[in-house]
Formats: sequence, structure tokens, C-alpha cells
Amino acid sequence: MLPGTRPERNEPEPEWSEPEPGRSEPEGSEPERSAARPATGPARVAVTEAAAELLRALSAKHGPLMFHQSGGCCDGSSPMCYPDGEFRVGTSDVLLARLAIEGLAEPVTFWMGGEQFERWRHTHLTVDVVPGRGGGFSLEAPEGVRFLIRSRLLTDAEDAVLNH
Amino acid sequence: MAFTGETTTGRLIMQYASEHIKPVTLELGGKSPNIFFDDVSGARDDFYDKALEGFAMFALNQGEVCTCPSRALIQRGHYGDFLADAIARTERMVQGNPLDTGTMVGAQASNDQLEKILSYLEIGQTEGAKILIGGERLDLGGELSGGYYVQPTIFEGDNRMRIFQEEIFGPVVAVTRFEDYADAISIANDTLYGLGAAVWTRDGTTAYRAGRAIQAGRVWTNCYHLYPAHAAFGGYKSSGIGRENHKMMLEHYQQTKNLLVSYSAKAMGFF
Repeated sequence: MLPGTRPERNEPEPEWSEPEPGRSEPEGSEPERSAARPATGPARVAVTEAAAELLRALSAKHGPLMFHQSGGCCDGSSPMCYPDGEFRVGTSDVLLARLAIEGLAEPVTFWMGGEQFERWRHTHLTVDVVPGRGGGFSLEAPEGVRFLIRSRLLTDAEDAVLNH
Repeated sequence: MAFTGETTTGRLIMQYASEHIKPVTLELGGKSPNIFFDDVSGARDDFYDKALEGFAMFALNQGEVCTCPSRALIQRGHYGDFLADAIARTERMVQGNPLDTGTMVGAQASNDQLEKILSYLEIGQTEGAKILIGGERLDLGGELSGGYYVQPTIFEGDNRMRIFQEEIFGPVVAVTRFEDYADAISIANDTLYGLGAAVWTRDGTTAYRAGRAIQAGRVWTNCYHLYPAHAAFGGYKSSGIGRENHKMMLEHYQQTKNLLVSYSAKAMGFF
């Protein structure tokens, strides 16, 4: 299944609001430019148990965490994990998910650049972890492991909820 | 600051640089189109042979090159024949120990790189792209067993698929066909990136027009993967900012100073 005709740029995307200083969002508020959906419905992003375990270990060292999905060369197409707020997200970014990780008080946000999202939005992503050595600043690099994205197509039912 | 890598880290570096008001140059990769017009197949001569080698350049350095020609656009008229010859050329690639001078394609740089490539081989197929050759990890046995080898892989599909839109950084090329010049340029530019590109044709006018129309910082014309000194190198769009290798690169690291000197001893007469 292909994404069909590419959506218009001004397609009503749930909006995004300028984060508060320190990105402490008011309780219960959703960032506006969000493609995430309530935990009860289908999700765009999942996490393997191995990745969840690593997130717990990283969070113990670094506090709340975020992902930003990279594109391009070298270590591109890999998810980058940073202390929450270290990477400045803005109006060009889309929030795909707030990943609830057992044992972590704060969800781990998963972001992607909006243009890239348009080309990925028909796929479901699973954050996994493999042995490796990332070249960027992603927090897990010193542990000798690397977060990795595994992808599948959204089912028609998921697509109907998430993209329409 | 000069950075070569990918988009998220590039943005992070720009963000850090902004805290100090420092300029940056970025080279963030691409999804370079390699365009073969019908007239390439006008004769079975040295030029045709060179064009087939140009197609096979997707496997140079195991595809771990920012400018990897990872999209091949082949015109409809010669699509079947040219692609059959390109597959035959790919079949002849020799994989092995990178220290063996007979080896054409070695192992990938790391396990995470290998895993990423394999994940793209999977999503490419689930999106409906067809594997024409390769498509799997390779175990060469003996002392090379367990090495990070991937078979050179040719996918046939549609430019909207993720394997056409993302830099896989492996020996993987995604092939599609185009109707005419306008279609070729449209597909070539339908990407977030714009680092490299190539045009193959026997017609000088087509070559020149295409080179002007493709939004990429380097357009090889009837060649690929040449990197002579003083040839400006860098990207359009998400491929980055700035140019390297050319003398103009020095301008990124220099200030322009204006010394405004008066030769007159006289007051200007305003006050």
C-alpha cells in the first residue's frame, strides 16, 4: 500500500504550541502539532522490551528523555535519544507519540521533522535496540548499543484512525 | 563549525552554534538520482558500458557514501534492456575481504549499519517494491563468517516509497522508470535532499538542461563519483549548508573587513 497522493502541507495537523521555558508543559495539555493519539487507540510508535529496558537505564542517568527521528547520511534514519528538551523542537516538527514506559514517570516523546513525517506517515515504527556504535550524540552510544527503527505499513484500520 | 552527518545531529549542532553566534556548514547526505535517458542505449559501445558502470556505482564503498546514487531513473524506451544489463553488471560484483584487491564490495561499517540496511530491505518489500537481485545478508563463510556483508540489491518500485526517500547507506538502489524529460526532473527533485545527481545522455542539450534543472549541489554528467579538488561540493534543501573542497570553502572561515580610509586632511564641512 502506498500513501497515495501526498497530503497538502496545510492539511489540518493537530497543532503544536511553543513549549514553556524548560518545556514543562501544563498538566494534561497536548502539544498542538501532534500526530499522536490517545493511548487507547492505535499508535504510530511502539517500543520493544529491550528498548524499554535501555530507556529506563538511560533515564536513571539523564532524567526525562525524548527521541527525534533523524534522516540523511551516515547515522541518519536512526532515532536520536536526548535528555528531554536538549533538542529544540519547533514548528517544523511533529510529535508522533508520547511513549509510556513502565517504570518511568514521564512519557518519552517521539518527534520527527514535518517534511520527513509526510513521507513516513503511512508506516508504523517500532523502536528497538541492537549492538552498535552510533556516531551522533544519542545517549545510548557509550553503552555499545544503538536504537534502531523497525517499520511496517499501518493497517487500513490504523491508517483510517491516524491519517484521516 | 563544519559537520558531516545526518539531519537531527545537524540541527542540534546549529542549535549549539546559535548559542555562540557561530556559523555552521552542514553536509547531511542525500538520495541522489542517477538518470539514464533512452539515448544511452543508442549503441552498444564504450559509452554504454560506462553508463552501466555508472549505475553500479550504488555499491561503491558498500553504498556508504553521502552521494550514493541510490535512486536510478531509467527512461521507458530502454527500461527493460538497460535494467537487464544493469542487473547482469551487478551480478558480477565480487564481495570479500576488503584487503583483497579483487574485492569490489566489502562489509558494512558496523552492526547497527547492517541492521538498519536489513530493516530497509524489509520495509521496501512490505511497501510493494520488487527485489530484482540481492535483498539479503550474505555470509561468506570461513574467516569472514559473521561479517557485516549485504548482497548488492536492486529494488524496483515507486518514488513515494520510503526506500526511494531515505538514505539507506548500504549497497541498495531503488529503480523506477520515467516517461520524458519533465517526468525525469519531477521525480529527481521529489526528495527532501539535494546533494548529488547524475545525468546520462548522448545529447548535450539534454545533459545541460537537466543539470540546470536538478536541485542538487553536484550533478555529474556522463560520469559518477568523481571528486576532483576545487569542484564545489555541498547540498540543496535538507542536504545542508555551504560548499566544501572549492576555494570558496575558505570564506566560511574568514571575515570580510572593510578599511575605510580618508586621504583628505580637511573636515567634511557638515558641522
